[in-house]
Amino acid sequence: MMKRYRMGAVNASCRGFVILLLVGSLLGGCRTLPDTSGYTAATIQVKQAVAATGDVVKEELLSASKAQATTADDETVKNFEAAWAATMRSLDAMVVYAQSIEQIVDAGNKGAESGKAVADSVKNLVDAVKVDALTGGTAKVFELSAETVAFVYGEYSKHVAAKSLEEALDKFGPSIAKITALVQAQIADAGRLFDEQIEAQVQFIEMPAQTPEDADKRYGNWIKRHRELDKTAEQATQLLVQGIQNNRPNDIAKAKAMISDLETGRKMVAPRMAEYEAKKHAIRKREKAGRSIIGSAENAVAAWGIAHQQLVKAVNERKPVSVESLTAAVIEIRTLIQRWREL
Amino acid sequence: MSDIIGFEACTQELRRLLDEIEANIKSASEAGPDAFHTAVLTETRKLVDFTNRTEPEDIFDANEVENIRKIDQTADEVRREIFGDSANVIIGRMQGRISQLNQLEKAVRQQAAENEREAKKIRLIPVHNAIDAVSETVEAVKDGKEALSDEDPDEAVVKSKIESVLRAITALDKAARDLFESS
Repeated sequence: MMKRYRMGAVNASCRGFVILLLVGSLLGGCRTLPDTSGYTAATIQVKQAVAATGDVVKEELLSASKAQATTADDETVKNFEAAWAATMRSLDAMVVYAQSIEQIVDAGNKGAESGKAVADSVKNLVDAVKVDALTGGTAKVFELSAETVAFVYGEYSKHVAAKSLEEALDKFGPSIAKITALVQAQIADAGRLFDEQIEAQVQFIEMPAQTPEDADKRYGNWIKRHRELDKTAEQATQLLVQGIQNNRPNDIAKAKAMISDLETGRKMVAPRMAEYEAKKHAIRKREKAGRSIIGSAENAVAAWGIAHQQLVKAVNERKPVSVESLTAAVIEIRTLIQRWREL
Repeated sequence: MSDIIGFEACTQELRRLLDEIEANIKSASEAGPDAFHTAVLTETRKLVDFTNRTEPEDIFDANEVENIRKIDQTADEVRREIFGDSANVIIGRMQGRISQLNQLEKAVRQQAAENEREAKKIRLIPVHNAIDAVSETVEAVKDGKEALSDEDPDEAVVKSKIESVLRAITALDKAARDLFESS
């Protein structure tokens, strides 16, 4: 009797344990999905910061054009505006994508319905970021765009029937990585136009003056004279060395006369060369600052892609979404833009 | 803020940075995907920061300015190469970039040595002028020496001093000519 009672007590405690396990696992499965609004907010900040990068490039184009200090024409500004408009569409689409993911996650995991919603969001994103021949980007970006679209469409047909939110987010990870790389390439392309613009400014100051008015803007004639003096100095040195080696007093005297003339010539050319170098240095400084801003904008988009991977993990693990890296990237762009404005 | 000044310092710092990136990417990849992603972002930020800190020592030296631009471009290309690849690919690329940087440094050093040889020739011109001036003086001093008598003890002292000065000048002339001819 006592033994049966003990057996009954053991069975009851086992049943209790099993029930506890079941309840525990059910509760675990129903843990709330994380709030992804931070990711959306950070995406908006990235968009704004990267947009400011475009303003920097445009300012550089316009200010040089207004000051008539560039060989670039209005066409350059138009090309940049077309290419940058496409980049801005991509950034807008990234915000829309983040908002749609926020809504899908907020609605809770609805199985295949959530999976389809994620798939559609990714498809909408790639449709918005794709670059066509009219956007003014390089062939490289156009090619990358075609590859990205083909890849994401392939992935869409493979994973549109994902059975859960988590599965869909996970399966579309490579698609988001490809899209991120495309947007980075778009920004890098804007950097190429920025480089071209800087070179046009350098070319401008290195061209010979066309009229008396632009004699203080263009230094081509002075650069030419400076090079001629360098060449003469080389010849004079050569003549002097040979004169000494072969003991030819006439050559030595001729070389010395050339050297004396050179000194006079250099004194005349030096102030204009110093002006030219100072102007070139200022252009190169803006180039350096501008390139850093563009580089940090590319980094910010890459950070967005990485933050997306962290979001997927956070959804899977029901943990808070971290956007620290995105915030840091935005701060970096803002700091660099501030420095640019102080130049 | 520019605090990496001059080609040598820029090359050295970029090489150090590439080594550091390689090591950090390696250890982060071993620590898991989160650490790896964080490292990718941190290291790329360091490269942007690097290009902001470089500056030529002499802004009027076109060669140095151009070479530092090349270093900045390398840092920029490296930054783009870090994204979207595995740790092993990134590490391989870092090693390739370090060797590319070493080649650039070697080429720049060769060019600098060549420039230095040319500059030395020009620097020696005043030495040659001085020797010419001294040679003219030597002739005058020699004439003066001839006018002095060995019989008079005071004149003999001056004559002997002139001879030692002439020997010293001849030695200086020879040394300077040798220097000139070797350059």
